[in-house]
Amino acid sequence: MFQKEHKQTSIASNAIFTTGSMRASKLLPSVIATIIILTLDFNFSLGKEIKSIFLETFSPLKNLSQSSSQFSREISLFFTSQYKLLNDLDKKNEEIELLNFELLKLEQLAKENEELLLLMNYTKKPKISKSVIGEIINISSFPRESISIETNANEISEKMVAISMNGLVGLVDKIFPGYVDIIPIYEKKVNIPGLIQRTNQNIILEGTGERNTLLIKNFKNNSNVTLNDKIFTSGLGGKYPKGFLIGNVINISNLEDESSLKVEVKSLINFDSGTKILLVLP
Amino acid sequence: MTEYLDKKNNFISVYFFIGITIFFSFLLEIFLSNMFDLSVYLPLTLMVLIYWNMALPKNIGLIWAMIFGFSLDINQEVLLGSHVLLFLFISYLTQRYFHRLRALYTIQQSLFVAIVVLIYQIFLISFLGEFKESIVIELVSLTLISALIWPIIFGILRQLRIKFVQSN
Repeated sequence: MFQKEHKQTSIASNAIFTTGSMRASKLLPSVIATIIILTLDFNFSLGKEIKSIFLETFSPLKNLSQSSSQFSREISLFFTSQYKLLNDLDKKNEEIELLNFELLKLEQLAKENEELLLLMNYTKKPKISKSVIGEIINISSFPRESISIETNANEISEKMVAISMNGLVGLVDKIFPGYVDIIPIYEKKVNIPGLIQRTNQNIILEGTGERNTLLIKNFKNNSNVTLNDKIFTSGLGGKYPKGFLIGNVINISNLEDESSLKVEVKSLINFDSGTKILLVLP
Repeated sequence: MTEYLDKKNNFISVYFFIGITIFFSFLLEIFLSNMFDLSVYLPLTLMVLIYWNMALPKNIGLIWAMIFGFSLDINQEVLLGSHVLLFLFISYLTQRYFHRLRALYTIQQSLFVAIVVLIYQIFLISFLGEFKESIVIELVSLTLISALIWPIIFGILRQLRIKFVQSN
């Protein structure tokens, strides 16, 4: 074993002082040839043509490396300035979204103000003795159409009627602590004293239970009525304030007994439109 | 009986295998030199040449040093023969003292490669005649990088040699 180790060490120590088989004489022809080429190129630009051909051959490699370097530059740009720009852009987009939301809120507020302004104009009418404003909190369509209004219930009486910004929409049905339920004017068994604007004839309108449809009660065959006649509240009976538009005549037909006419009136106001309701007492 | 034939075939394959590895290092050197706008290049061709001169001095000869020397001259648009002369002298020295170089530790080999690369770059700069202030920093950093990547090049080529080349 020790003999082997000794042999290995001696090989290594010999190797350090051993030179390879390469001799200077082998190198000399190559060096001389190269020096001749170098001198010729220096004096007569011998390699110009060879260089241009060779560079043309290697141009794809050059282009490849250039595009790689461009690509890496783009990546580094992305991770520095582009990244910052994208971040800024995201922040600005978020700000725009917030501003849009604020704008929507302001638009809604403007509409509410407009609505309130219209409702306030109603309160200035001399035919209205008492008015209370309320906000719609619920809309229900079953078992019958109704809307709930949040308001000061202590000031509300069952004789009050509901007016939206567009006109007369319903009447108080039930009063609860903090809110009231309103039913539409076209609800069954609702009777409204009306007036045909063209002829000044007093009539009684009755709800049909169908959306926006009312009928003129006991309308005689010889009465003067045409399609599109406008019907307003007459104020008779003292429940409904005078002068509010109810609707237009849309259909006239004969009843079976032939002494009366069936006159359908279409209400032009949607019961559940808007956000505020004015409850009034004539 | 047919041992001499085997040896001949093996010699041809080894010879071309060496050529292929130097060619790839040459391509990589061009690629990297075009990628980074520097005055000096990472001499991968030279380092691969040093390895083969150390590992298989009998097989490599001086032809590959001349071929790739001229190729680099043309590619880098310097005087024909600049790289060749340096490659020839470095090949000669490495082949002459390959026993001693092989016996060195990797870190000592890296130091040797760094010195050779530094001298090679200085000679090339003098051939090119371009002196800038930044060239010194580039020269030092590339010499350091060469020393650092020498063990990697050595390891890769050694593995390739063991796998594909049967030395005589």
